[in-house]
Amino acid sequence: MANIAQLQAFAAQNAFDMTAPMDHEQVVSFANLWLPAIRFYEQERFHPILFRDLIEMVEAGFAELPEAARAQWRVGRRTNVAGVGVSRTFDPPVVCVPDGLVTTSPSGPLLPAHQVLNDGSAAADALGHAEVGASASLSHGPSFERSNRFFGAVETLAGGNEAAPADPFVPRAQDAGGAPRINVHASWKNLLDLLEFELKVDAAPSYPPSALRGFDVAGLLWTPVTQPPQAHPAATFRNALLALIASHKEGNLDESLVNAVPGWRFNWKVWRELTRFAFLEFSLLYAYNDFDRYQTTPFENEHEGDDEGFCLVFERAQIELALASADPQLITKVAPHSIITSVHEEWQDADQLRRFDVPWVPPASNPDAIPSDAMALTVYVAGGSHATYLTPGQHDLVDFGDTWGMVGDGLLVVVLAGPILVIALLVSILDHFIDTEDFTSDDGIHTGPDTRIEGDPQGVPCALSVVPLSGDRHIYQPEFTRLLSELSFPGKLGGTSGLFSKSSAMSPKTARYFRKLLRAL
Amino acid sequence: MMWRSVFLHEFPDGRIRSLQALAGKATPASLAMTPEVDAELGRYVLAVSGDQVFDYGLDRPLQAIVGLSVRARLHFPYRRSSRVPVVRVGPAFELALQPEPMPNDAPSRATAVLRVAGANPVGLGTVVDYRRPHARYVDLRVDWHSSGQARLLVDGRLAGYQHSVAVGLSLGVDRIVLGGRPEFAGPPGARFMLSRVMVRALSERDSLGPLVKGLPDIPADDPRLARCRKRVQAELGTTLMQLRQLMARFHASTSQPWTSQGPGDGPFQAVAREAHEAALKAGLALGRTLSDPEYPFDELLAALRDFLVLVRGVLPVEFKALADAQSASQGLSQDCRELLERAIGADPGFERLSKLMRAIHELIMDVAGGH
Repeated sequence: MANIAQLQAFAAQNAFDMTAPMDHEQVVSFANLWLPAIRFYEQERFHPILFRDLIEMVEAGFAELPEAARAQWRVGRRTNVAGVGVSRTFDPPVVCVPDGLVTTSPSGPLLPAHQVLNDGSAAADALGHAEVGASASLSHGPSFERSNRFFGAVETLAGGNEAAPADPFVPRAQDAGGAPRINVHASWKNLLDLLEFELKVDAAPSYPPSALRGFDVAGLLWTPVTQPPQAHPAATFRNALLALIASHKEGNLDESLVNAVPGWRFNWKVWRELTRFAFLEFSLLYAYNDFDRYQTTPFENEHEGDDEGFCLVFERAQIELALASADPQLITKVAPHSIITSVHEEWQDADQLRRFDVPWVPPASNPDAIPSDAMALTVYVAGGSHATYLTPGQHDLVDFGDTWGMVGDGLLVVVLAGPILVIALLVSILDHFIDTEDFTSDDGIHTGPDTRIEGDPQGVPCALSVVPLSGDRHIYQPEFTRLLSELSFPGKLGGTSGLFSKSSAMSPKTARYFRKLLRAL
Repeated sequence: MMWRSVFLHEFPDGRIRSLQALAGKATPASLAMTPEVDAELGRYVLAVSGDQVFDYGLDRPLQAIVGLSVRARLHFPYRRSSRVPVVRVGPAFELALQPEPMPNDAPSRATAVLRVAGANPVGLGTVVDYRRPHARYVDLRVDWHSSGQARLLVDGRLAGYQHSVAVGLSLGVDRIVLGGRPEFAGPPGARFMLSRVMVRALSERDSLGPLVKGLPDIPADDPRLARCRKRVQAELGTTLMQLRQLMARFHASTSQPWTSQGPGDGPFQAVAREAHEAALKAGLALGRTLSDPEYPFDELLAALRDFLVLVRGVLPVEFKALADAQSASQGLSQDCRELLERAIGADPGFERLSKLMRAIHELIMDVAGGH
């Protein structure tokens, strides 16, 4: 667990705290207050689970199988035995890292091999190994059949095996009492504190790879005023920014500190938004994305492991004001500035943002109302893709990427591959595919605050876990070692590695939400 | 997805800026507009009229657009006889609604009218029939492709079809305009409500994207390759044009203009439906073939054969002429070929694509030969 110990030591040395002035208990209360209702599509087979379910549900499911039935669910990997590729199978799930190139015959091609880190040991223990980096993977085998075997819903609310509106599939994961459960993670992040921590990590030599990182927005703060841009070491930008953050926190912002980077203009608008906002992020983890099964178009993505979510944006000043007041209930009157969803890839620019009226004013008919009740936020999760939307129904999947720009010189390679008539024929056929759509609905499983699912036949309780990121209680403290090894796992959440379909790593969407927010302001 | 998104406004809140679009700017007058809550719908909508249009200009206008798909969810209470623009996409594409005149101003129908590139406007079909029960908001969708096909869908159902609209044209798109001045002066205050607008576009070569993905990179700055690229782009453009002309003739031969009022035998002959299904099947099989390096070619080749045989059956002479012309085509010059082969080296993805292309070429020649 070399990586984990290093992560813990660094956080301790740098007074980790992303939530001040809120302590962990206050974050927990606030996250529970603002947990929206979440509605899934009726055909959804894979509902949100915990990271540890990716290991434990597979291990338990595999252990239940009679020995004769196990072979088909073992995961095959080519291993490296002194430069020779040897194919072996392993009990699922497997934690793998690349292990060089091998041959399988004297004149055969070089092929990639893998080392299985949990060969004969527990998968959970392998997560924090020093070898685990971005090219690692945790996999129970990359196919719908395998994910369905261990995670897929087996029956509908009415006990059938075909889901229908108001008779959706029941989540497979169960709580200790055997009732279906849905898990959601929440995290509170002061953006400026998060940026400061990222900058300190950047400066640290040999900080281990961690999926908790990724707030890569410092570049948005600087614009070159000359072409070509004046060159400086990365440390020049970083140190200027760290000094600026320190002066801001001391309540004595020294704007001249940005002059430490000659030839570059500082973007004060981005700075204002970084200091102004905190995010309450909700993360939903799924064992499988079977978006392809909902589509009639080619090239849609289907992969093992899926990390999705949405985010509520709050103004820090309102939080600070409420917490400084003598009225302990004032915090419940703070309303979000906006909500941001995540829809497929960031480059498609399809995420949705809805702004709310700030400050929130209670309706005249109910002056004692609190905004979380009155606004009654609902988020809809699209079938298969798990993209999040703010309304039920069909959603044209937007993609503002420049397709032709991506083709570029590839055209020459395609023409080298075959006659132009063939290319033109394939292009003409692909022209037929106009639509990709997501589907959301009110008719599937509902989860969210207890008050919103009470008496609801489609309601499943939401187990909300708040990731501790506060000074008094945080994930890098020793009592959270297991959680840290899970949520910091930098590898891919699955073994899908096709041309169009790929498993990806867990990655906080904070930077993505922030870029979306900036574009909207 | 081959068709690129250009513009989407769903009016999620009371801010006109809450839209998703290619980079661009709305005019100051447009930014002064404010979505309002439609109490019955319980959502924000935008009221537009001849005097109040929402005009969004693209920073980088799109060129060589051969397909446009426009969708609008709208409430159109305007029943006078002037044609009212709903969505304009660039200077050459306008979707309008035309209320049908009635002697006593009594409610009648509103018809979708499409104008592409200065050609005479084409009535596509009925969007709202005021004489029958109808929802306040309708989902209107028009898809046009330069092979000539234009479809109108209302609330998801085909409501109109034309097969020869602006055949072979490619358009520029510099802006999206919602609303517009009626053809003739409308009554004061005439306006309609938009709850959602989406525009998608297909450029001449967007559909190449999936073929290119995963192929090896080649040096971008070699001037000799720049010359190769120019030549190849021209030749591909010509071939695509010929193929789209062929498909336009196929559509004209196997379908007829149609609206929900008739003709009773529908817009498409059986052969058109079969060809469409075969093309969809081929597209899906192509997706699987390109995505999975071990997926066999058989499914794709079988679907392509079905499609090509149907096209050849309708246009035997034209099909053979196209195949013959192409078999004489040079494609890449020898020096380009050698340059590229050196740059690419041995690449399994490229080898597989070459093998697939050769198999499809043999199939085309086989079908052109009458097999």
